[in-house]
Amino acid sequence: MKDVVEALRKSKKVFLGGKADVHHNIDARKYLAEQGMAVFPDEFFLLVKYINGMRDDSAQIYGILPEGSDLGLEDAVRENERLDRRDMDHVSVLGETIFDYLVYDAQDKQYQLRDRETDEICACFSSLPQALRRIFCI
Amino acid sequence: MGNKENVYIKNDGPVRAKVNMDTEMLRREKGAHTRLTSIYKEAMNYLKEDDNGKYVGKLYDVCREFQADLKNLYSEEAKKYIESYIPELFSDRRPNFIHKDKIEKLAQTMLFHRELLEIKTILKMHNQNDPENTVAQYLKDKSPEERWHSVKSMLSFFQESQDPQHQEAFNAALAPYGYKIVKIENRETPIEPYQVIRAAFDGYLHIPTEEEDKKGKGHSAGYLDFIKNGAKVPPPTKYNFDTKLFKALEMSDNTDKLSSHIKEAIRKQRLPQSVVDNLTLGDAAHMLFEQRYPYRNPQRGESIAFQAIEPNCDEGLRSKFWKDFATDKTKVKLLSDQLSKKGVSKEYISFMMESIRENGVPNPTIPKDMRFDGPIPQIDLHHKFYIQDAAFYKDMMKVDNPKNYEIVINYPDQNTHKELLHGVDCISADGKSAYRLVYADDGRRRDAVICDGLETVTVDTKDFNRLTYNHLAQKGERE
Repeated sequence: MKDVVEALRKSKKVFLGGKADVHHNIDARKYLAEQGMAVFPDEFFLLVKYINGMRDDSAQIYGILPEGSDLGLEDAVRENERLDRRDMDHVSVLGETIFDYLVYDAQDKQYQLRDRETDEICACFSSLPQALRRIFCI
Repeated sequence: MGNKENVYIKNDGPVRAKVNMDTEMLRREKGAHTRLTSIYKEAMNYLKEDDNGKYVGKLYDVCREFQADLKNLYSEEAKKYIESYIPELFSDRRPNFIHKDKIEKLAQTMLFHRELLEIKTILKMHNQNDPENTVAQYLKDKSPEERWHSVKSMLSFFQESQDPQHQEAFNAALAPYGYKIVKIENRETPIEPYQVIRAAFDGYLHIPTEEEDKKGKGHSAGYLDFIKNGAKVPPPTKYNFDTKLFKALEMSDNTDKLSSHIKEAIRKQRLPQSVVDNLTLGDAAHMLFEQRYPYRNPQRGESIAFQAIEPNCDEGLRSKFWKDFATDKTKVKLLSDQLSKKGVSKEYISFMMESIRENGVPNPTIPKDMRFDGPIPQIDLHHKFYIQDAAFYKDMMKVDNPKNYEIVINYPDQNTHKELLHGVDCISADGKSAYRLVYADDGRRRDAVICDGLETVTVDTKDFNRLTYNHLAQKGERE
């Protein structure tokens, strides 16, 4: 994870958020569990400890931002609520690209790019850094 | 924290401020117009260069089609995404995870036309045979990046055409760089020996990726079904290990030592005989990994060293080569000089050489507290006579002769050398012949070679009996 964080920090084209509040992470975990939504993978919570949300011209990874963001970044919990997926009990949406959503499927233990319109799986990744490298071409 | 109220409370209202979205849309739209203008500018340049008019119509159609696409997009919600499509169109990095066929097709068409114009210029110059205006000079005048692109265009064009006239023209263009395209007999190496030779070179087995599965070079369908759904038939009382995989494993001492471990894993897992019959090296890697690390889930692409399975195995031929290399002062100096010439710092070169001496690893991990000026190269070891052509040898393991290795230097942000060397690999329509890009004089003189972009450095010129593509090509000509 640290390698990809380093690469993102070096990349001039990706706009990065700050660090997530640890208490917000705990609250997010609790809230998701209470609402019967899939809890985000540990890797995601680890990522937001370093970079809480990021974006470039074609993609965005959400953060844990319950109090909103002045930087135009989205909160992952609220985005999942807004999307209101039928399979939200095991699928969490962690970000989006031009055509796809980056989701984590807890059943398959896999990060996937799924088409926004058809929900078809376009690409699979076994880890979050792998997905980030692909999405931001770093 | 105990009773503190959760910062997240159920939110029933709209969660995203609309004003932000509108600002974002405006910003993207503005960018899209700028990019569109540059695309037309680029297209117009092509039209100017095109003097015989053959491609003008096609390019014009492409631009028209592109314009129509943009209009459609503007009329739909997708307009905010236009800006993001466009940068990909004229760069080498095509959209990879974006599967919108129309845009991708358009990008490919545009790139194809760019390549065609390049090829047309080269062929025209070659046919005119004007000493003042040669292909060699044309390529020389280009920047290294453009030159690389031209060579790549030639190779990919030739893969399609396989025209002897084109071969002649491209060979003339490649001659100053010491390369040429040759035609050899097509003799396919079966997948099992291929993978065993590869593994013996690496010194480890790796769990296949999904991509490899799709290409038929990964897991067998039977094994995947077995690990997902379990056995459908009971295991045999006695296994028959007379299979292609076990025969191939005998080729190398190192892999032969793994056979007993694979057999043991098969018995432990109680695989049905039908699965064992078609077992691949990738399946074996997966089983050995599970056996060695029972508490870890083997991940796709992960590797397991021979020595982790069987302590009597050695480190693999690649590491051995590097350790031998480090003992030869002349070769070390040639490599160091080549790297210095390209701006690699002295400090990094000595750090790298130490890693080669100690561990046989030419690409050491740099500790966090260390910083080096200049580029950090990726140094690979390739086979001059490819493993995929090992079937030309009676004893296929001979392809792993250290004299058949070449050192390849790749710098960050550059195309890899592999793209160039394999850029022309193709089989003729009748399946009888194959084409390869080779060193024009690789003959029997060159020992280890250092490749750095289009530049090659000969390390040694001792005579030896190594099978070469030139030799095979000449044989073909005599026939």
